[in-house]
Amino acid sequence: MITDNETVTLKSEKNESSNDSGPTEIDGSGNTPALPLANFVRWVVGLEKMIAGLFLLIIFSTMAAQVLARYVFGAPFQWSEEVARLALIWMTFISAAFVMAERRHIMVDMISSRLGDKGKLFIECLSYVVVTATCLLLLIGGANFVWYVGKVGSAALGVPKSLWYGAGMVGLFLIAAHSLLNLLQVLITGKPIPVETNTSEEGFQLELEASE
Amino acid sequence: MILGILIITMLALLFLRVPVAISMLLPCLLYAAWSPDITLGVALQQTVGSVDSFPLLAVPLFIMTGYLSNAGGLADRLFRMLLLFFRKIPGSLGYVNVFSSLMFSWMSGAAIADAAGLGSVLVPAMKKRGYDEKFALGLTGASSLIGPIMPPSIPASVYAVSAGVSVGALFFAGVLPALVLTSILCIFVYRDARKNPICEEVSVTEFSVSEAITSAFPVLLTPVIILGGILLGIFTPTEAAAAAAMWVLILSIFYESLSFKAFREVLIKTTTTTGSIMLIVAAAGLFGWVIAREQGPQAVTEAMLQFTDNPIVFLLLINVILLVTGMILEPVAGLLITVPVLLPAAIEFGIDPLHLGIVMILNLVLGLLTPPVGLVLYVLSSVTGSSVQTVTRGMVPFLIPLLITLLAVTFIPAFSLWLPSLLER
Repeated sequence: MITDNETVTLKSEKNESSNDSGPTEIDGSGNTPALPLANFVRWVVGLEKMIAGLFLLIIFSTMAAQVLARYVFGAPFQWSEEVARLALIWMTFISAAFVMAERRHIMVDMISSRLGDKGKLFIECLSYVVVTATCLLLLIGGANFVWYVGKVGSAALGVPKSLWYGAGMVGLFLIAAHSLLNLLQVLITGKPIPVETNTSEEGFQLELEASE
Repeated sequence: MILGILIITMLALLFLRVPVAISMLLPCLLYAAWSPDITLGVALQQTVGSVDSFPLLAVPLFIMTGYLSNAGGLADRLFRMLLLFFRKIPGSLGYVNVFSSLMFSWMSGAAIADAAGLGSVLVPAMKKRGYDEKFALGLTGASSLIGPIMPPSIPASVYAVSAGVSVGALFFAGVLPALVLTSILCIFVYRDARKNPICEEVSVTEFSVSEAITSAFPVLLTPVIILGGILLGIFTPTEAAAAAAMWVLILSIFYESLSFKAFREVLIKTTTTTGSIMLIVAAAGLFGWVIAREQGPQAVTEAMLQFTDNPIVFLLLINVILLVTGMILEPVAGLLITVPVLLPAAIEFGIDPLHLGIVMILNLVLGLLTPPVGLVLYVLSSVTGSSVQTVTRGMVPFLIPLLITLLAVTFIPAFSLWLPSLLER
């Protein structure tokens, strides 16, 4: 059942991305045939987007419920703040993963934009290597710690703290994986993965007279 | 020594186009792995722990409010009201441009949405009516900076958490500086209109003024909910963000019958923007911790004190450092890198952290209008079709009002501190 839903969202996303100008992994490869890798990445990204969206909904609804509980029912929750904070951690690290896949993390473009195609490609590959190495370093180095705090319960909910730091572990793993997959993709196709920038969509939609 | 290596490694990675968050993480991780008395486990704890914050919950919720108000066509209601309101005044579209930015800033905490929205609609309209293209572009860019200064503001939320001050107080600290910028831009529009009086009516015919005001009134309640709620102690800023998002969601469903698909789009956009900001927040938590552990703030403070003991010179120095930082880095990233280093020094010089926050935000957002990484320049160029060079040249005269605002806010602390002081009473 769940898998059905996922494929549905993925398909609809695929349609959207081919309709609007927002480039995804596939668009960048242009005339080269789509790699099976790209489809897999897109499937994972779709799943991550759905999960991150659910966590955002949890934050939104618990915070709204907290206000209602306090003023309308006069009985403040003990647990809502902790739930929302936990959801924020998970949302942060899951969305950081698909943001990595789409190369939308905030970067400094000053030098690489002045390089030629080959230099740009080299810098991109180097950056993937650094990202992967960094995430793996923290992942492996932090594993012991997460195992250790697993025994400690949180203040209000009593859930093990490993659920908190585990979010970081899952996120770091996914970021490393996306970075590695991007690197593979670049090495196979020899083309950069396009950065998604559909700025016109970001803007407030306003209307003026029809003649414009 | 260690501090220098850390910072140079970070800068090197930044310029190699490694994402900002990772550029901050890697040197700190190597430091943690190398130090005998700390482990990478502590590094993980610092990284994840810095996202685990109640005030930071306001960030995704305010981002969501901005996207929702767009999906629900709420910005458009304000825009039409302003078009009607200013239609008979010379320079009308200029005022509409400035006041739209002001009103949008009550629902959105970033400059990009404003620049993209007004850029795509108002710049062509202004050009068509005989305004100078560069003036239209520059005005749109300059007024879009009201967004991140006026509450709700994403940079302000992030600064408040990172500096350990109250988000609500910092929100109120931003109100007057944003109004100062608005007024100075209005003076610019007035000057231009004297030379070049254009008030050709824009046909927003199907509405009367009173109808337009009625249709925009519920939208204008959004800032009342946020600021009034915080002021009266009804909400924490985080709850105010949730309440604002809820209000905007209700309006969007009521006015535009917001579809489930559009709502899902809003959720995905929000998580994308939040993900890229919050990963830097996480990395900056560790970065700040390492810098503090290596006595970085003390070193900076000492160096500053040797250079000068005059707070005014210190503030000027900070302005220069931050303007350069803002030219290279996106504002929130710039804040997160500089706050742990500059804040302790500023406190030593007797500067209020709230005042410093507004000065820092103003400085860093100015970088959005300057090459080489001025995001607003690229957005304006892409939505209007004008070249980046034209947009940049249009921006130059507007750096004057922006710098006037910056200096006024820097040297008259009352602009940022008066409203929060009322809040405390």
